[in-house]
Amino acid sequence: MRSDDRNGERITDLSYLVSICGEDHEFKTEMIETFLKNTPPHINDMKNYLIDSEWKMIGDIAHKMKPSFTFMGIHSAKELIINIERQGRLFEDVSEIPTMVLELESICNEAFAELETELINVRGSITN
Amino acid sequence: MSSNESIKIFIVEDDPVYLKFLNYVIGLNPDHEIKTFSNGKDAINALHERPSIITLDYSLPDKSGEEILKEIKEFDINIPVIIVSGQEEIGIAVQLLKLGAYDYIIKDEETKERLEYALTNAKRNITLVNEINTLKQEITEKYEFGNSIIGNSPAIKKVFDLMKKAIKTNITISITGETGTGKELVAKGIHYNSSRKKRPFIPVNIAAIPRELMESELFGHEKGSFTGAVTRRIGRFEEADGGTIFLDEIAEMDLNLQAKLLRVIQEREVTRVGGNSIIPIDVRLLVATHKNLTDEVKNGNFREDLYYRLLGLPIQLPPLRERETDIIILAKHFLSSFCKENDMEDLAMERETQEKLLRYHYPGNIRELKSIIELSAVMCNDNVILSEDINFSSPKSEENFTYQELSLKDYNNRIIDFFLKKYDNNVLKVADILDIGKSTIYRYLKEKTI
Repeated sequence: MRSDDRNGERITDLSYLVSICGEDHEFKTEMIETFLKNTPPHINDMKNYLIDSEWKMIGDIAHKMKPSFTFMGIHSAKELIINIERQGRLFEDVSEIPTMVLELESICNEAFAELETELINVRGSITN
Repeated sequence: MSSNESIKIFIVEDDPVYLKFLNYVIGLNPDHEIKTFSNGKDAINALHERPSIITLDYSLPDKSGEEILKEIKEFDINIPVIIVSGQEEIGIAVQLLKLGAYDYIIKDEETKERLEYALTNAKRNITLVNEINTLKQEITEKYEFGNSIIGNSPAIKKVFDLMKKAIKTNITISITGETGTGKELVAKGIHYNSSRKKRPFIPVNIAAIPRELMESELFGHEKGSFTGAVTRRIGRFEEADGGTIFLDEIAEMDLNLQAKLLRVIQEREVTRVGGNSIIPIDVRLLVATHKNLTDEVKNGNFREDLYYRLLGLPIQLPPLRERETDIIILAKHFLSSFCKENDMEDLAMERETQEKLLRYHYPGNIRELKSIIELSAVMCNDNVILSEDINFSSPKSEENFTYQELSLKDYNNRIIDFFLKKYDNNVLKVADILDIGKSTIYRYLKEKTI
């Protein structure tokens, strides 16, 4: 599903993260902050490897990113990231990879915005 | 490790998000002391800190999970390593489990529950391993020379000297001695002080196993090899592989089986009953008997070739009556152990009690002395064991009576004493029983008074 097809639906779902930490807002904040800090460099690395057609490296980065997407509940990117991982590592249909990486970036940007808002809310609830 | 004891866990994970998650989930248990690493090299370098459990990511920047797992197992094969990985390929999981990984958990929405379950199991496993190691240590200490075999008589010192020689090599040891002299204790002492002490000690009492089951007991059997053989069974020789087998009462072994035993000793291999495969074994053999094996050979009850094979280093255990200076040492040792085992206050032995113990000749040897002392500890009052608390129950009382080699007069007096005591000094009754004149008894009593 493309980001512009989602009609304002949320792209992130923190219910799994909450099932782990419950009302522990501090942990929830730390997890979101760490995700926001670490994911953009991964996307940039992927884009850089696209220039040199380093498909395996792109696949490895996708593999590394995959578990943290589970915590942020970015379900719409799940299949996409699995395909980047598989196709990159196995050199399958590599011509599709650049498009998939850009789509992943687009989804991530939307997720980042939602999570930034979530952070403000969570921090507010900690302060209150 | 008790349930509230701190347990050190290493988390090796390079993804910061997942590292935080693992740290959080594992840290929910306050007993967990966590140390985190973002690469394999740092984790390997910290192994000297002795983690109890390690969770390991498969894909790390510097080394593969497989390499790190091998290095951990080379350092200490007993550390449980739980692989937590995004790799969903079954082949990788199988390979890591074959290399000794404790569990393989995939990073998904069920990771938390699976990890908690794996940690609980790993801790239970660690507790069991620790208990086994503690018991092994206790056994080793228990059978250290001087802890298990007590005494300083010349006769027992000679046994100690032979035992010290016995532990230096794998030579077969043949232990002989009357019943109750401690043959199995000597066998255990040799095993637990030898280079084989970390491997099994398997005692087999030949006299206690029915003849028709003996071959299967010693060498094992294959499923269906005879009626009742519903599963494959590993024999005692295979169980003892790397360690020691102790064949007690070897003289009771059936002649047919003696031939098979001889072959096993010569070839160092066994074949299970009903089986075809030859199984090599590395077993040290200790044998014991209360019989004279030379006589058994002469009488045709024991194979001569097996006798020479088993003779090895012979250790003859002295009967307790030849260890007179050890009797009181042993009695006090048994008394102290009994009091300790039963949470009793320490008991003393009055001088007369000790003299009574020294007068007896113990046909049942140390085993009998132990029983006598334990019974006296139960029977006594006021924390002191009196002479009357000591009860000798040997059925071989006539041997007991004559072992001191007294004069006939002394024996007569002892008999009169015994019956006077038994019949409350009723001289007429005693004279009647012994068929002697009452004046003989009065004369004896008068002499005794003087």
